[in-house]
Amino acid sequence: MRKLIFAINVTVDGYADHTAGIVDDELHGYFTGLLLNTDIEIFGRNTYNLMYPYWHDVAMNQSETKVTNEFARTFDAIPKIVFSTTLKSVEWNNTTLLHSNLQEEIVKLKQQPGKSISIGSISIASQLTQLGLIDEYYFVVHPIIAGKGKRLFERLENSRQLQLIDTQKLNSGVVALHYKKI
Amino acid sequence: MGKIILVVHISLDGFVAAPNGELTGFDAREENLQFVYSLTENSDTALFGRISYQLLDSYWPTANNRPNATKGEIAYSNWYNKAKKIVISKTLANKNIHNTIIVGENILNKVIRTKEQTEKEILIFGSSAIFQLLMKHDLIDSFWIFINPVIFGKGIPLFAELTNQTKLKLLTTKQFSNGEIALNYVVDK
Repeated sequence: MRKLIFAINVTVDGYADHTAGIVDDELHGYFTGLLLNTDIEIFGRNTYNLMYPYWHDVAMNQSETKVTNEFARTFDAIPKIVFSTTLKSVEWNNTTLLHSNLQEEIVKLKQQPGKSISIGSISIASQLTQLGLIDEYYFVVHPIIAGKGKRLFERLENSRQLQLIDTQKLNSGVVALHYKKI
Repeated sequence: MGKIILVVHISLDGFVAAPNGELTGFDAREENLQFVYSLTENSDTALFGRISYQLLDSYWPTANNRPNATKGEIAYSNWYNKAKKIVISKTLANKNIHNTIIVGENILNKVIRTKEQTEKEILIFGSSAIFQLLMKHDLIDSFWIFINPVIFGKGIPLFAELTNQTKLKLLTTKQFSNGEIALNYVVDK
């Protein structure tokens, strides 16, 4: 039985703007740690387009710092599933494109043995939170007030109580908060 | 010159309350209250919006006299009664309430003057409309943001429609047994 996790960078006021944030080796190292316990990444079209070809190129060219290169290699190697109704094809290695049945596919994947399944898309994480399917959350809180932008979750019908498992402070002032479903 | 400190409880996804003001999932205990009281040690002034003021004022002035009052409640209640209270409201009438000033106009001037007149800390509790106003004018110096272990999914945002991002510096964090975590920031100037 696999765990379904959602790990995301967020500002302290609850916005998930990927351009606002302190990106450094320690942050990449943190995410590499999560990826080492993951064997499937789930994206939507937007996240796919943000990640590819950028991280694939870093993995190939090893053009960043040691820690960031390691993150890129780990990320590049993990099998990925992209859920999109509009994409016609995907080019990233180890990547499968699916057009529908998010809930069924996730339930099926969770029943298989293996490491965690990690969601990297807000819209998918919102749908799966609504369905109560996410087991653990990693909110990586950046010391920034964004003041506007894309919210961490798209409108959910119900609120959800979680349980704090642990926290980790990075030198940049980023605080990673780890919760599980109750 | 005093400093303005925002003390606020939010959901994990950045809402101060669910859409109709509900706070279900914010579960403050004695431990949390005693900690909030410790934040008042260097403060002689509290700033509120009308709704937060009415909510707090219906409880705290006499909370220290209740038969089952806890240590934290008594301490906070005593501070509340002593502190100068500035209430931002266009509708409340100024009725000579002890230690309380209602400000309906020239709000920013009044806040700036209050800052100039004290050497201590001014705590702001509640009221998202006032946070927006003061943030827009760079009047908040530091933050105690209490993140509760609940996702609201929709609601009243802590901040919205601000023009600029604000970079903060993390000073410290404090974790509570109910899963709440408080993050203490100053504006990174």
